[in-house]
Amino acid sequence: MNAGGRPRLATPALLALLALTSFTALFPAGALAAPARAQAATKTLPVPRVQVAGMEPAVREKIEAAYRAVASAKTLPPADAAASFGEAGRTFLRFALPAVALPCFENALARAPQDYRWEYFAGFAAKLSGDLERASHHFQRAVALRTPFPAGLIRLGDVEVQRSDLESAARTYTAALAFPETAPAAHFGLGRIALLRGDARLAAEHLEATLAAQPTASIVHSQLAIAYRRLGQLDKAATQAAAQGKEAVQFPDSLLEELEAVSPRSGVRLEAALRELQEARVALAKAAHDFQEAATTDPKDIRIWLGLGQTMESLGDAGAAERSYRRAVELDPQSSLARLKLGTLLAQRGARGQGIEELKLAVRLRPDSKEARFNLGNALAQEGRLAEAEAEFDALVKMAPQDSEARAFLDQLRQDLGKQAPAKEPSPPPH
Amino acid sequence: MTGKLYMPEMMGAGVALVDYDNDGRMDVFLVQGGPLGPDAKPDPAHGSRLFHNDSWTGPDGKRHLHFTDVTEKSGIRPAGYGMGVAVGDYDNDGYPDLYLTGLGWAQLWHNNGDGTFTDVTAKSGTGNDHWGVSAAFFDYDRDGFLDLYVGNYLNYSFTKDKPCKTAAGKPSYCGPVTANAVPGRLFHNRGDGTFEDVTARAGLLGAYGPGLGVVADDFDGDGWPDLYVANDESGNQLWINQHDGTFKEIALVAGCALSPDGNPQASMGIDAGDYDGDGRDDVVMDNLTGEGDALYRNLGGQLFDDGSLASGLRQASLPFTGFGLAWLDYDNDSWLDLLTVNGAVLAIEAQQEAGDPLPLRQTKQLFHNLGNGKFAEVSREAGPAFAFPEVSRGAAFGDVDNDGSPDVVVTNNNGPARLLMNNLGGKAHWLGLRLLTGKPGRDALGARVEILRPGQKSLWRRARADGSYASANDPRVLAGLADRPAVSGVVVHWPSGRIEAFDAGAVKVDAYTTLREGTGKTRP
Repeated sequence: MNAGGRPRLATPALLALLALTSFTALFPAGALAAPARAQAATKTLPVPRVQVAGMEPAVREKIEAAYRAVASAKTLPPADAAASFGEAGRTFLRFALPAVALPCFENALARAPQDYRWEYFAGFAAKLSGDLERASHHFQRAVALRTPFPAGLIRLGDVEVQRSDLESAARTYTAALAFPETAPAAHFGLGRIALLRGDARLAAEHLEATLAAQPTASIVHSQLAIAYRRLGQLDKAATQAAAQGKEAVQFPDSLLEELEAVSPRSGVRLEAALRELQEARVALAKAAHDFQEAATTDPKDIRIWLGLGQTMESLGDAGAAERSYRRAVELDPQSSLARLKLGTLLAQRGARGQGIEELKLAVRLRPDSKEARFNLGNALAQEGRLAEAEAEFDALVKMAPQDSEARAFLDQLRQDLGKQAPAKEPSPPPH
Repeated sequence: MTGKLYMPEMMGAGVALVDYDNDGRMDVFLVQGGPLGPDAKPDPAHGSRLFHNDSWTGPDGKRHLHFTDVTEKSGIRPAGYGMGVAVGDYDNDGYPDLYLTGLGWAQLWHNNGDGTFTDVTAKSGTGNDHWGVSAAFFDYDRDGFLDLYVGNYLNYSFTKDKPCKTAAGKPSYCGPVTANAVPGRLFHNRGDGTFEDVTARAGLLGAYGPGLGVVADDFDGDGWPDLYVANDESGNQLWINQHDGTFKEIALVAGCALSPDGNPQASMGIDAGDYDGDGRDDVVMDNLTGEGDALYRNLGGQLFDDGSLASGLRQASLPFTGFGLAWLDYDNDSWLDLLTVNGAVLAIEAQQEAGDPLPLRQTKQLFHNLGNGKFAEVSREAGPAFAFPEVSRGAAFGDVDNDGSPDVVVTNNNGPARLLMNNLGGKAHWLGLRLLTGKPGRDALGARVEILRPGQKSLWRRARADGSYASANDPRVLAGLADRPAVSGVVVHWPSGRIEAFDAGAVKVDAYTTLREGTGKTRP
């Protein structure tokens, strides 16, 4: 349910899968005509088999059911057959089998040529199969069949860009500008086209418009950085580059949401969890944006950089987090917290030598920091420097005797070093 | 393959074209994987191999290709599961040395000049206990000694490696977790046979991702070599040499870090070369299926334009996962073409359904440069080798039979290596140059050459062994001259910063000529 009436966004997982990325006058003559294969209504494209062995049982069941539906569809009346083929196609598409899904959708279209849904899904399947011409054809028909279809326009524009047909893409995005829900994505598309055409000023205008409407879309900053760099506005370019992230430009796409929502693997609970995750990511992205804004006005406030680093870590952008923590260390080399954050992240990212040095500084600056000692001991142990690790955990256990995790580490290290762990209690006398 | 879907078994291995005995013929070094797993021990019987090129020309003028396995004599014993190889003469003794990368180890093998090699890893201080893939020798401080950059991939452990699953729940190889990326390492050559790790001092810890490809080239034309690192599913880095031992990362604002839609790509192989004839080297990389090749056109002034779409490369490569690649002028028409070797990392359903135990096979691709900024795929016309699907990874490019046309050695995952001979040799004119610096003379990796042609635009080429994927190329310069067998001279921009002109009489068309630094006319 969409309780608040707010447009729901396709989940990141599905968008990641599909992001490979009116109006009769917008499309070439004949776009609305039924495709040739539809006139031979009974013609059925073969649906390739895939090995179901090795699939999760619940998925295998769905895939096998889809194949059964395909087999029986041939005997059904056209409308029912179209539904069977289409639903089977959606199942295959849901499990990332676009080459199997595509003929299903095209078989559905042969029987129900005016159903924009099958054109739309066929467009996705073709795009994911790498057949951009076919994807373009299907998306064109989808947006011609359903007016208005803002999400379809964005998908079509994305495919036109991939086909390097920038003129058609620009026309399509311009059409999508008319709809508030797709205007940010349309601006983003037009901005990218302007960059590809070398018009940095126009690109900057469109990309700024995208961010004005959707400040959390951190992916836009990278393109904006390029635009400002080309315009010679180096400060602006640097600011945009620092704000760059992975959050995509969002727009509601009910068909995709529907595809995700009925996933048998996800179910209702997972759907809810994904939505929560998405909302959490949106909140984190908003926090990141706020931190970045704050950093612009007060770039010497170490708290901002620590907060930004923490947020970027939560968003999974370790590179950006590391840059923020490094900035915090630069601003205050005596900050134990900044050293702790940077050292821990570096150690986690595999730069253990560097991480250990930072963590040692963190401990030196705040010898009572249990977290710093714990992380230092852990990194040293991972590096194989067991004696040094033991010393850190020994100090930690003395500081916090109730810390059972530190105690367990210490005992393990002593065992690895061939030392006897000290007895926790006196041994009972022999009977 | 272990059947346990360990990620490293998908990533190797590379190959080098190296004339280790200076007999004028490119020998082949093949990096091998071997036993893999938490308890696996290196197996010398299945270790990396060195093949000596002892091809000969018969009385009829026909060339006979032949290689002899000289691994035993060479003494090269890799320490573990191999990934890549870099070639460079680090001690300036005139014999190219080998740097091997692997899963949790690396080795520097000194070429003794008598067909044997000595492991000098510990003595030289070039060890690397991470998962290294591509590496490159280059003289970043212009002191006459080759330094070394080693690209690292991920912080990997067998105990934590659990197979991932496809959307349908089938076990599958995992992609990289970018948070587990490990910084590459820059080793400064002290000139006494030892190196020091200057990664932090050089500023290279400021940004990094899972590094898979690396190329060192003077991208901004200031006479100092820069460094481009291609990362897997993470933004790429362009490190600009600041002339003081440090580098500054500018890829994002320069426009060569991400795809045109702002997304990082899974970059693997890489090369730099002047495909559009404007005198500036452009960067090309291949990526994962669905992403397509990336082409960044160098505009000068530390700016790049994304030419992936306009060139047609992106669309034509969308169905492929590319690894080894290079700019090469296969038909010697004076325009740099592109060859990529491919192989998926996720099972291809149709192959799986057909019962293929390794359902990752893809064909290779050859793109012909049309001279107008666009490329046309000519794989179908390039011979049966391009129609045969394999799980290709490394590729080394060079002139194996010295006929003036570039050939390629390809490594395949769980399959035999392939030597693809270019049959277009002799169909157009060409110029071959071996550029030597110092005494007794080592290949001047990083030198850029302007080839002056009467009545035509100059050609710019570079002497390089780096690039491709985990591999090392023929360091000689090979430039096609089309149907005009004349040059009016060459200008060499040596890595030392010296610029020297050589007149037409110093070079011979349709043959290889050796040019030594210090023997030309110095230019300001």
